[in-house]
Amino acid sequence: MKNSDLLLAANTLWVVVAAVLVMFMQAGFAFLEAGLTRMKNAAHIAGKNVLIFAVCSLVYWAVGFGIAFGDGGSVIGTHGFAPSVDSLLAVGKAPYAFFTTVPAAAGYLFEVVFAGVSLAIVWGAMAERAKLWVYFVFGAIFTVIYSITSHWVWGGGWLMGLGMQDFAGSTVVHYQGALAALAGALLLGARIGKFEGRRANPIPGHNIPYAVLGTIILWFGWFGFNPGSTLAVVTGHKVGYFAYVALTTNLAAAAGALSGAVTAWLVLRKPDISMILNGVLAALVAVTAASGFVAPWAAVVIGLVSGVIAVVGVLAVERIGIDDPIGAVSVHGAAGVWGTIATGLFAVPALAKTLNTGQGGLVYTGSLHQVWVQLIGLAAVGAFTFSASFACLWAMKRLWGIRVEEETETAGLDVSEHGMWGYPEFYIPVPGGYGTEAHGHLVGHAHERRVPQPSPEPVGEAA
Amino acid sequence: MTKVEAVVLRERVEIVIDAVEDETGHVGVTVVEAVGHGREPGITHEYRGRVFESRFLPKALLTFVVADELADAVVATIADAARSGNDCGDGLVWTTPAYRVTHNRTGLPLERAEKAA
Repeated sequence: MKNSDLLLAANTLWVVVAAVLVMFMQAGFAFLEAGLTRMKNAAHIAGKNVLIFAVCSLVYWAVGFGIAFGDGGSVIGTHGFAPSVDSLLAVGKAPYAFFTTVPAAAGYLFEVVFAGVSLAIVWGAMAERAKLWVYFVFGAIFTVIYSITSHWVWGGGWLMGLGMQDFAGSTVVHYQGALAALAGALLLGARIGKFEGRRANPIPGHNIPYAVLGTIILWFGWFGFNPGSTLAVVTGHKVGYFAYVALTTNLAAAAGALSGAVTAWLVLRKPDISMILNGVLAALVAVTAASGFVAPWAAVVIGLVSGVIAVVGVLAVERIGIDDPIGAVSVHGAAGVWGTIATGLFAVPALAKTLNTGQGGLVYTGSLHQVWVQLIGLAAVGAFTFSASFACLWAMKRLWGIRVEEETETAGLDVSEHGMWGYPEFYIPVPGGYGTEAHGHLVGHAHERRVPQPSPEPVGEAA
Repeated sequence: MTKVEAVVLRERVEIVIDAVEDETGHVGVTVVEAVGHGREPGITHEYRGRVFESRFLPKALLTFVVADELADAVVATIADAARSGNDCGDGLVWTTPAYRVTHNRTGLPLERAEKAA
């Protein structure tokens, strides 16, 4: 075996492991979103992550991957739709000349899980009130929108040509997901009972340990998200550069957790757990663009600022009357903008050279050039993605409606959309279930000889 | 004293309690999450293709212990406040006499304890 083959094998191994870590972030979103919403919608909210990842995977295979990374012009890729076996196994050949370090199949796997993450963000702000069909149709549309802008920034498009620095997608994945989320939240309107006049009522999440678990899974998955974006085990002439990227990612997340906690303590007088989690996630979002470009101290600064952005952002979004149950607009949108700009401020010239992308940032070069490029990228992606998402959702709203009926929303999406509850034993007599005599802790010696009833009466007489 | 109990829709709980406080001045209630059924049809559930009916719907059971002279007003207020406009499912309100109602902290009969306070 040649050395170049071994290198290729090592690259592929790393990229596939990283892709699998990022795929697991869907579990993180499922738990985060289910935890931060109400019990009556828990099964729906967790389960839809499976549906949208499925939609995204197929659409991305058929058209998205070709648009994003197929050979083509500076606006979209025009080759590589529904790719053949040969083209997926080749390295650095048409129609996927972009992937020079791994086979195109590894490229697909790694890029489709990114599209899935961006799509998962969209529903955070639309939770608890959107119709089920919207997930299928807008899921497919958004996958295409995502593919276009990711071509601009990563796949050889015009923003890449300008030297925009977005290492793993603060702009492409997070800011973009948040833009569609904002469009959705605006068109759907607030959940019933969220706002009374200008006063916002709290609608607490039903399981904070779920939200914590989801956040830790996301943090874990981010070690695939950012470090995997090297797409190789050797970057420039630096062997194992991805480990450095993992380090900056972790530093930012840690700083974000502490900053979110302290900010919440100061602003809300209590270190609200969901705000600590938002601090972690905002920091991870922000360092996503910067992770390959910045020094460790800068990663800490990026994380600290992100924690403040998360807390203040969630409150500000609510203040202006937008109902965003998970906080996607603030945590992924505002923090994504911050991370993209911060890269232009803090990029180390030598690392920009290693990655062969853009120039050093303001603090090293004294030049605003890189910040300016980053702002152009934000403006272009912002204008395109927000207007395209808003237009599609607006048309869908006009044609068929995107919001569930009032009764459906009141009863909960679990029972009305799926005919089942996330926690059925609270509501219905399940044989041997919660609250029945056969339920574990109620079985005493007196019941030992008793034959279990097929459908026991619930405790207490119902009126 | 009189025990007033009411089964109401869960989303009417706050409205009923506020109405009782505003209309009669009575403060104090115990709320229990309950399931039950009346004339209202139940819900059809599905689980792995098996369809089953559950007659039980989520409700709340409220218990007020009130002075006898307030009982009529409390009952009327609850009935008004619990009305949702639906055809059925708004629940019931009823009273029973309550004896030896004692204030735990002072050990006094509640009516005397309230006067003392």
